[in-house]
Amino acid sequence: MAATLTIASDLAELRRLRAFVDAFCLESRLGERIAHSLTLVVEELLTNLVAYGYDPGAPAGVVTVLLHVEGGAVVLSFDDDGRPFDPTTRPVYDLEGSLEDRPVGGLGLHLIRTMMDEVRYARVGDRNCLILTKRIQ
Amino acid sequence: MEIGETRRGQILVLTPVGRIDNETSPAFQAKLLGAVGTNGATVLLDMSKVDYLSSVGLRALMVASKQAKAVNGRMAVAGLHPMVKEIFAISRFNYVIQVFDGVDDAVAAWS
Repeated sequence: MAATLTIASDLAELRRLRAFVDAFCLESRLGERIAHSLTLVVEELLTNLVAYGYDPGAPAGVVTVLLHVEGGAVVLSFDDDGRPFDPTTRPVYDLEGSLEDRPVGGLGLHLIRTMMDEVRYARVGDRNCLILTKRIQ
Repeated sequence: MEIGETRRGQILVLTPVGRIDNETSPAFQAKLLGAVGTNGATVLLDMSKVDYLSSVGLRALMVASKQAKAVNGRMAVAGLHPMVKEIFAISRFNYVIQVFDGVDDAVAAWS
């Protein structure tokens, strides 16, 4: 089972992205928890990309999202033409801090890394290719 | 976003409905900041009707919680949906904001 969606790097695409993930999870009978994790992860990824991936005022880029189930896991590939960004090398978010010490940024990335079992990154030509895997219990 | 508003004695109970995401978070944050802006305000967020919370929603809660502290107010959440509870656990948000099982628990604790 596999599905692909190509969207613009625009927050207006969030609804379409969400509908795409929902439909895939429903068809693949992945259950509510997996669907919730995947929805959250793609939403955080697109939001990050729109916020930091392009120069201000630059035209929207092109994002390709691919979902498939393979060997007891659901694999999400998120491929964009934003500036090079490898989330796997970002420092781990500091969870120990009290309210005053907590950084406001970095939470989205923390959610992505925690909710998925594996995150791999490659820069291929002028594109960021992220492959995120979540085991299906 | 629809946000219900009731009073339980001194406590202002806000009940947001639906998803707290990119689309709805600005309105959610504005409403929260308005509520916690008054000196000594006691605000409880009944989250029982929220089934989705992304990092922008967490940020809104963090900002409002800081604001509440700055004006000697109190703010807490109650009735977390299982999915939202997971997000709170992953982010260890219990360090950031007080969490009650239900609205009644918060009311009892604060009375």
